[in-house]
Amino acid sequence: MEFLLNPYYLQIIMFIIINAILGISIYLTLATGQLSLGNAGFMSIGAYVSALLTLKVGVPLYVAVPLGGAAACLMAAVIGIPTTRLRGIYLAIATLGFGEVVRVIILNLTITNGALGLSGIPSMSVMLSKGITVIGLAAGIGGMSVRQLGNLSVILILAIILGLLVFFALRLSTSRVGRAFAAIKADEHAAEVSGIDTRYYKLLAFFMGAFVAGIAGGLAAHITFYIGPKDFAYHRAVEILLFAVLGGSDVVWGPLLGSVILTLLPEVLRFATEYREMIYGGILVIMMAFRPQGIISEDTLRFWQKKITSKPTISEQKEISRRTTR
Amino acid sequence: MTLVVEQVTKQFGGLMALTNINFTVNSGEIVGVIGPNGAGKTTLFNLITGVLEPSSGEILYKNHSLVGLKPHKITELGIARTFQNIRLFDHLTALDNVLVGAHCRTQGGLWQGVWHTRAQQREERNTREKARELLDLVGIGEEESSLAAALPYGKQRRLEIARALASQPNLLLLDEPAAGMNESETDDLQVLIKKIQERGVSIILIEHDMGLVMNICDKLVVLNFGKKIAEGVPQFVQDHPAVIEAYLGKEEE
Amino acid sequence: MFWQQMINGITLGSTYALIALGYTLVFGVLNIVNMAHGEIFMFGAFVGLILATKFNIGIFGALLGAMVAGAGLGYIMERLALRPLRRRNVSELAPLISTIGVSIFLESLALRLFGPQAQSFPSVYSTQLFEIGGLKISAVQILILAISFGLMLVLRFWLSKTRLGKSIRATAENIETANLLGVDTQKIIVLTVMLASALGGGAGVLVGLAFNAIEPTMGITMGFKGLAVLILGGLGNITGAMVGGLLLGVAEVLSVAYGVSSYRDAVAFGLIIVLLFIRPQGLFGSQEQQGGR
Repeated sequence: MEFLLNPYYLQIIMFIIINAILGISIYLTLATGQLSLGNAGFMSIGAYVSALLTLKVGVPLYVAVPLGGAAACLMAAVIGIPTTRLRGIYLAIATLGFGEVVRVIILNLTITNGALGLSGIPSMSVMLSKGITVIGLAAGIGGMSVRQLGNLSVILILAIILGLLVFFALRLSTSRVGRAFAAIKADEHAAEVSGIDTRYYKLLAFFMGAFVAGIAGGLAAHITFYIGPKDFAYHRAVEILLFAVLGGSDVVWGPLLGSVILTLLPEVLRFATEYREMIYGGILVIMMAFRPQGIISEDTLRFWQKKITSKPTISEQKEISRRTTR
Repeated sequence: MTLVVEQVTKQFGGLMALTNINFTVNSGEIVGVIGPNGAGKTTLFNLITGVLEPSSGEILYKNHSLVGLKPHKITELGIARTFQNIRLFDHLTALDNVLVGAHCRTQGGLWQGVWHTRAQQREERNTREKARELLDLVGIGEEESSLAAALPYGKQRRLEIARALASQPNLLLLDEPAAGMNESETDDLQVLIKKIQERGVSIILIEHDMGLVMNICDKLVVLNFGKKIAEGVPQFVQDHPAVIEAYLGKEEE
Repeated sequence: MFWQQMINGITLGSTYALIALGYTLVFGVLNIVNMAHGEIFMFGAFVGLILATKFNIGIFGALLGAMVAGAGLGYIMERLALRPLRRRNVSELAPLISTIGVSIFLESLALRLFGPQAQSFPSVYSTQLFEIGGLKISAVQILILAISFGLMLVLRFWLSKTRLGKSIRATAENIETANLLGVDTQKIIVLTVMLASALGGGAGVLVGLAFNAIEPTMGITMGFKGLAVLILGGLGNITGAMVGGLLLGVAEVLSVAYGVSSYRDAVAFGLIIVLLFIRPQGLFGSQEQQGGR
């Protein structure tokens, strides 16, 4: 029990969940076939805005984080509006540049403290620990200290947020809007001619991705108590991309798997830390060459669905009946 | 008059894809657009559906100008199309493909979709019912759960038609629907097109299969090198010297 | 003062133009943006540096070595990351993502091989200053201008007059038709990628000379600027890349001279956002080229 409650492991779990949320942010945009390389930038906006709100203005956490997400959306509009009517490559390039520019701006503004970053950000864990003390559990429960309870509560909250996002993504995929997304991803032109306002939906997906990335940033800021421009560089954006590319970009479970694997990988492969980026690069190239849809794809789900229900599909049923009536 | 194409010209740089095209489609008509390859037929479809804008001229649909409108708006107004080289949503099921076609006739927004409101559930049921009806109409009802990419060619063509019909069009543009079909498949297609006409949909048909064209078209428009060289009932056009020349070349003296 | 800045801007801009040309050539024949181009450029700079310092080869040798290194990297990238994708039927995004992978790989490799600190070329050329009509121009600047414009002119001539050049243009225009006409498009693609990468490598040395500092992370910043020029000039448009590069160089230098120096790197980004709003096809692109197909 003590082993599991080791604060280091707890923090890893927190990072896995944050990365899973980031994975969903890029999944949402990829669902329309768009590649956004700016999610690290949106994350940084969410992080800085919510951190500054809690640190300097004393805004409560549950208001600051959504506001961070909203700020990210605002910036997303600047890039998204001109590019969603154009080919996908424009969005990719614009978001790539956006990430860079956000970094430059953060480095230069005094309010963001430049290269030094913001420290002393109110910690979510501490806030929750205080809350637990307030409701009378200052001595802890079942051998766990208030601090450990605080950390566990953070994980609980993160897990709930992640759960809500997964629920959202699943419901989305079977809805009319989700179908529009899938159509745009499959063949944008055919989708347009079939009556879908592709520009609106592409923008919508892009906003959703930016918002979720901003939320992830806000949450992360209050878990690590310090954020600096280096945390959100181009590499972060590529890492987020990697969650979806490795885990799978078709279904929401893909980025979840990807984030688990890629957050744990550096821990497991301690000896290869210096080669981490090279491994990431290699993974991207290899995945694109051999399995571009990622580990978990729609076909994977369908395959397992059939195995579990072990009911033949309609065409298989026809085949069986045709064979038996010969 | 459902559709009026008036003095439409389309120019790509120095190339005149279409020059001064004029014709009309009346309500409930099946109009065939024929001509050798490269005559500009698909370009004409692209102009009507808003994919391209005419360099000059006017396209009126129920007295409403289509020029400058975005393709999805034109679909909303009631014009749908199929493609020469099938463009289905490969990894979606047949049913989903048709449901996408019905997109502009339904409302469900983001929140309704996520929270499964009563209204949204009702709308989903209705849309699915209508989609199944269309799949039955084109004869692939049993394939609703099959992936579009897994269907044989003939069924894919019919699925595309079902998808187009899902947007409840008044005018349906079919781009070489019989391409690659054998005789019996073409006969089935003929029956299907007639059924669609009976539902009150006007049809413009680009086709190379002369048998099909002669059988079902009320009127033919013949294009060659971007110009209209003949228009009229099939029998008239069949014997028209300019048409014969376009297809077979001039007789050696 | 203004004209002095113009000279600086055009010198800088000519290097941007060279980088952009690399992107343009690859985009022309493969219809993809090679996101690793910036890293190839960076590698060229380092190879040139090593040749100039460790092996004491003169600046032209270093330049040549950098171009060869660039071409080599381009070849490997084409074989390993791009060609396998052409066999399958993948979306437009797959090669893009693949080249992103290559870029990350190369950048990390460079950090391991060369270390993170900035290094500079021996200052043999940078100290010589000439004065023409009241304007100061250094030997390095003259060198950069001469080589960049020289390369651009040679490229232009080569593309329009030679058989190989025409094959490249044919492949860029319509790969199927080029195939039918007997062009070995596979070979042309490899050649174009190598050529583009050679230009990138060479640009690396020139930028290294211009800024007197090279470091492994410069691939990302310069890479993005090249992309900005790509959009500025119009995707796939060679003249656009050349003119656009010069424009960006001048814009950046002017922005430093007239106030907003710390946001210099953001000028490129700002420029493309504005462009995407009002004229996405860039200065020289045609209307029909954009739009979601």
